[in-house]
Amino acid sequence: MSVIGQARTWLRSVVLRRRIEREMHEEMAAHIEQAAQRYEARGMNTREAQEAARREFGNVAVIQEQSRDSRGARWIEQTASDLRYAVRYFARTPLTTLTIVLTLTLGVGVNSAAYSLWQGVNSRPPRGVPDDSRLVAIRGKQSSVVNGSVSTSQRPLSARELTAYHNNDAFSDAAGWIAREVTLDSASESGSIQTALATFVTPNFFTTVGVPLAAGAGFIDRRFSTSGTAAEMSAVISNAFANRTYGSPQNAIGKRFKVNEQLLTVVGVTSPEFSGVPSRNYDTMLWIPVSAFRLIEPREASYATSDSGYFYAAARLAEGFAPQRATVVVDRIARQFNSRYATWDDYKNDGADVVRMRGQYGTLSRSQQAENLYGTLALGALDLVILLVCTTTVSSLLVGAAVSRRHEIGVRLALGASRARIVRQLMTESVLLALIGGAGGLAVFVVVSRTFAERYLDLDLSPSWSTIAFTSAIAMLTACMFGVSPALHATRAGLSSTLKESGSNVTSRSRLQRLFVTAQIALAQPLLVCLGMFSILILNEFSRNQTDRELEDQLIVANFNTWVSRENADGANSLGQIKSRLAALPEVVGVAFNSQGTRTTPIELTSDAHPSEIARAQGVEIQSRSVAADYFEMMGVSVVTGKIPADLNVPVQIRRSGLVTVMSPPRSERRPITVSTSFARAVFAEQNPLGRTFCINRCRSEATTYEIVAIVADHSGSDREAPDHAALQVYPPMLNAAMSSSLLIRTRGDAAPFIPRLARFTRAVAPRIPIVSISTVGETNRAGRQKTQTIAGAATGGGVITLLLGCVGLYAVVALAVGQRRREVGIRIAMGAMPAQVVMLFFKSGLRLSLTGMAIGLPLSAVLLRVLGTQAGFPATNTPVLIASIGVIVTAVAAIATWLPARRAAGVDPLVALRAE
Amino acid sequence: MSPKSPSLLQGTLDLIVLQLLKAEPTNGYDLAQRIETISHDALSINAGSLYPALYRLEARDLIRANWEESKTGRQVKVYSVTAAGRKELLAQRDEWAKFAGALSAILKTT
Repeated sequence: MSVIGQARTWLRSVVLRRRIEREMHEEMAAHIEQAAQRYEARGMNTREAQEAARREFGNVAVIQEQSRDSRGARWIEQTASDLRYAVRYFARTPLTTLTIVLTLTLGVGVNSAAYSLWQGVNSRPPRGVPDDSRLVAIRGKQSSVVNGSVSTSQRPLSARELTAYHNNDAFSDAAGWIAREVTLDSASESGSIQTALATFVTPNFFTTVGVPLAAGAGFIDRRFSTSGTAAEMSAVISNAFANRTYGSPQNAIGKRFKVNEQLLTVVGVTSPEFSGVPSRNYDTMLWIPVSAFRLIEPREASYATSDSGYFYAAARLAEGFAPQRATVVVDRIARQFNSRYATWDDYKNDGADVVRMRGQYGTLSRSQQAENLYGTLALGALDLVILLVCTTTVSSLLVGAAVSRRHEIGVRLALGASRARIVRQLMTESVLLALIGGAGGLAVFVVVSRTFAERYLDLDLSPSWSTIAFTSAIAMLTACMFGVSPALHATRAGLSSTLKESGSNVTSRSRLQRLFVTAQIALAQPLLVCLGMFSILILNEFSRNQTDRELEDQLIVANFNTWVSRENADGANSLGQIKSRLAALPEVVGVAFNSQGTRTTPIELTSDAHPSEIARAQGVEIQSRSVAADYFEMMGVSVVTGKIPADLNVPVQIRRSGLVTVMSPPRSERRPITVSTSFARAVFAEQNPLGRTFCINRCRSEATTYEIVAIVADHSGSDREAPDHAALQVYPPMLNAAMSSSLLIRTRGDAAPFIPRLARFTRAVAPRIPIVSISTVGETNRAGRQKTQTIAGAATGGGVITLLLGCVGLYAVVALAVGQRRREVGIRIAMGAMPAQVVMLFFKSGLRLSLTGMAIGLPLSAVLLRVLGTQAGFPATNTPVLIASIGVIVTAVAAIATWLPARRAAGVDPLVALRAE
Repeated sequence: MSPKSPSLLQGTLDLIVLQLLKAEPTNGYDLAQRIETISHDALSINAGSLYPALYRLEARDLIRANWEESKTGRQVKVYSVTAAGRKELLAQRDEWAKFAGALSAILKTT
C-alpha cells in the first residue's frame, strides 16, 4: 500500500474509531444471527440455534481483537488508549506528577540554555548579523615560543595586508576595523562624559558585514579605504545609545557629539540587535570611518604609513571560493608581509586563515582553544550533573509510583495483558511527562534568555528549530533514562505475590531507587558547597560597616590617556599638574596617584627570621597593592609606627609595539614597604616588625625583598573592588608615580555630583590628556557586588532546588518502603513492637542512605571547593567549616525528609495490614 | 481456517475471497457459506480467519464495503472488489497457476 493509503488508514482509524468499532460489532452480530436462522430452519428452537451459531462463530472478543490487528493501525489506537490511561493516572496523583514535570522542566531548561549558549558561541553569526555562508573572518596568525612550546595567537593585520586581501579575487569585498576605548561627550547631558567602545571601520564595513541601518544613510563615502584622503567626521551609533541619548534612532540623525574632543555627526543608527563584530561582553557604541582615526587617536597617527598590525577583518567570499580555498590564498599573501607587530620580539608571522563569521571570533591561541574546550566541558559536565539529578529524582519517583501500582499492574497482567504491553503503557506515561517537561523547559528558557541572558551576553540565544529538536531529543533521552528501568522492574513481579501484596520482591525493586537517591544526595552536595561559598563571600561583602560605604562614595577614580603627554615635551608630567590643581579645589580632600589592581599571594620570610615566624608566615596570604606616599593621609589611615616610604623612582624600561605596552622595573633589590597592623601581628606576634624583611610570593634569586619601614592601622580598603577581609594588607611604594595614568580623588561630600565638574576642570587644565574613564569607587563596587549577588542568587537557587529534589527522592524512598512493608510492620506491631521502634527502623534505613550519599559527595565537594575557591578568593581556612556545615544541613534536611514518611509506619493498623493475606 | 481436509494453503484465502467477491458482492456470512458450497464442503472458513482477512483486504483498498439491506430485512455489510483488487486478483491467479502447474509437473514424475 502507498504511504498516502497507509496514512489515510491511520487517520481513519483514529478519527472514525467509534464508528469502525460499532460497525464491526454489528457485522459480527448479523453473522451470528444469519447462522442462527440457518440452524432454526433445520429444526432447532431459537435458543439452541443461537447457541449453536455462537459456538460456530467462535470467541467474539478474540476475533474482534484479531480483526483490529489486521486493520493495520492498531498501534495508534493503543497509544491513544495508553495516553488516556496516563492522563487519568496523572489526574489521580497530581502532586507526584507536578513534581516530576517541574523537575524535568528544570533539567531540560538548563540543557536548552547550555545548548543555545554553545550554538551562539560556535555556530551562529554574531547578534544582528544575517547568517550568510559567504561572510567570513580573515584572521592573521602569529606564533611565539613560550617555555619551549609554540603558542599561536591572532595577529592584527596591517593596512597594506588588509588592502591586499580586499583586492584579491577570493573576496567580493573585505572590510577592516580597529577597536579602541574612547571618551565620549554627548553634550546632551551637561558635562556628561563616558567611556565607550568605538570601532574605526573601513567605510564599506556595514555593506560587507550585511548589517542594515535602522535610521540614517550611513557614511558618505562607502568605498574601501584604510586611511582616506580626508577625514570623514561622522559616526554610526548603536540603537541603545541613540535611544538613551536622543530618545529615538530617527531623532539621533544629524546630532553632534565629541569623541576624544573631536566633533562627530551621527549619520546612522544600527538595528537594535547589532552590537558589533566581533561579539564582546560590552556593547560597541560607535562606528567611525577609519579616516577619522588619526584625529581621534593622534598618538597612533602614524599607523597608516606603517606596517604595524592594527586591523581585524571580515570579508565576503567570491563565487566559487570556500573558506578552505580562501585560506590557501590569504595564507600565501600573509606570509609576504612582515608586519612589525608580528616580528617584534619573539613573535613570528604565521600566515592567516579564513573562517566563517561566528559569535565567537578568533580563537587561535592554543591556550584559548584549551580554555574554550575546558569551558565547554565544564558547561557540559554541569549540565550532565543537573540532568542526572533531575533524572534520578524523576526515576526514584517513578519507581515509587510503579511499585505502588503493583496491584493494578498485577490485575492487568492477570487479565491477559502482555508484559510488553504494560511496559509500553508505563513508557508512554514517561514520554508524556518528558514532553510536558520539555515544553515547559523550552518555555522557561525562552523567557529567561529574552529577559536576562541577552542583556548580559552579546550572543544570539534565540531558540531555533535545532534548539527545539535538541530539547525534544533531551526530553526523549531523559524519558528513556528514567522510564525504562522502573517499567521493567514494575512488571517483573511474580503475579501471585503481587496480587496478594505479600511484600516480597521489595528489596530488589527498591534497590534501584535507593541507588538513585544516594547518587542524588552525592551530587547535591557539590552544588550546595558552591552555594555556601558564595553566601560566605557575600556575607563578607555586606559585613563592611556604613562608614566604609560612605567613604567609597567619596572616592573617585579617574583614568587618563597620558600617552600624548609622554610623547610631547610640553605635556610632560601633566597628570602631576592636574593632581596639584585638583588638590587645591575646596571640594577635594586629597588626590593621590592611583595604581590599578591588587593581588592576593602568599609571602616568604627571608632566612634571617626566627623559625616560629617562618612557620607563621607559611599560612599567611597577603593582599598587596602599591600606593603613593600621600595615599594614607588622604584616606585618613593613621601611622602606628615608622615612616611611610616615599614613592620610588626606579628606572622603568618601557617597550611599546602595536597594541602592547610592557613596563618592566628591574628586580632583585631591597625596597621599603608599609604593612597593616594585623599583618604585623599575624607574622611577627609581639616582636617589633620594623626592619624585618620578606618576599611577596617566594624568595627566589630574582625576587624583590621588602623591608618593613612603617605600620599603619587596618583599614578596610574601600577604594578597591572586592576587598578580601581575610587577607592581610601590605603596601609597597608606588614605582614612578609620575608615570601613573590614574588618580584617586577624595571629596568632602558625595563624589558623584562632582564628576562632571571634575571632567570639565581637567579638560581645561590639560586639554591634551583625555579622560578615559571616571567613576566613583562606590559605583564600581556596587556594580561588582551586584554581579556577585546575581551569581550567588543563581547558586543559592540551584543549591536549594537540588536539596529539595534530593529530599523529594528521599521522601519517596522511605514512603515507598513504609507502604511496601505494611504487612511486616503489622506483624511487628501485633508481636508487641512499640510504634517508636518501628519508626526508628525506617528512619535509620533512610538516614543510612543519605549518609552513604554524603560519604560520596563530601570528597567531591572538597575537590570542587579547592578548584573554585582559589579562583573566587575563598579563604582555604574556611573550607573544612563550610564542608562540615553543608554536611550538617544535608543531614538535618535528609532527617526531616526521612522522618515524615517514617512516622506513617507507626500508624499501621495490624488488623488492616494483615487482612490482605 | 478449519483443519477440515484438505487444508487451505497459506495465503490462498485472500485469493479465494477476491475471486468470490468479484463474481458477486456479498456479506461475510454468505461468503463463508459460498466457500463451503462451492468447494462441496471441502473448505470451511471460520469467522476467526475470514473477518481479519476481510479487514486486511479492506485496509489495503482491494475490497470496499457498503451497508445494504439483506433478504431478511437486516442491515448487512456487503463487500465488493475494487479496481485495485481486480488487478491483485489477476496477479495472484497467475502466481497460483504457475505454482499449480509446477506442482502437477512434479507429481507426474515417476
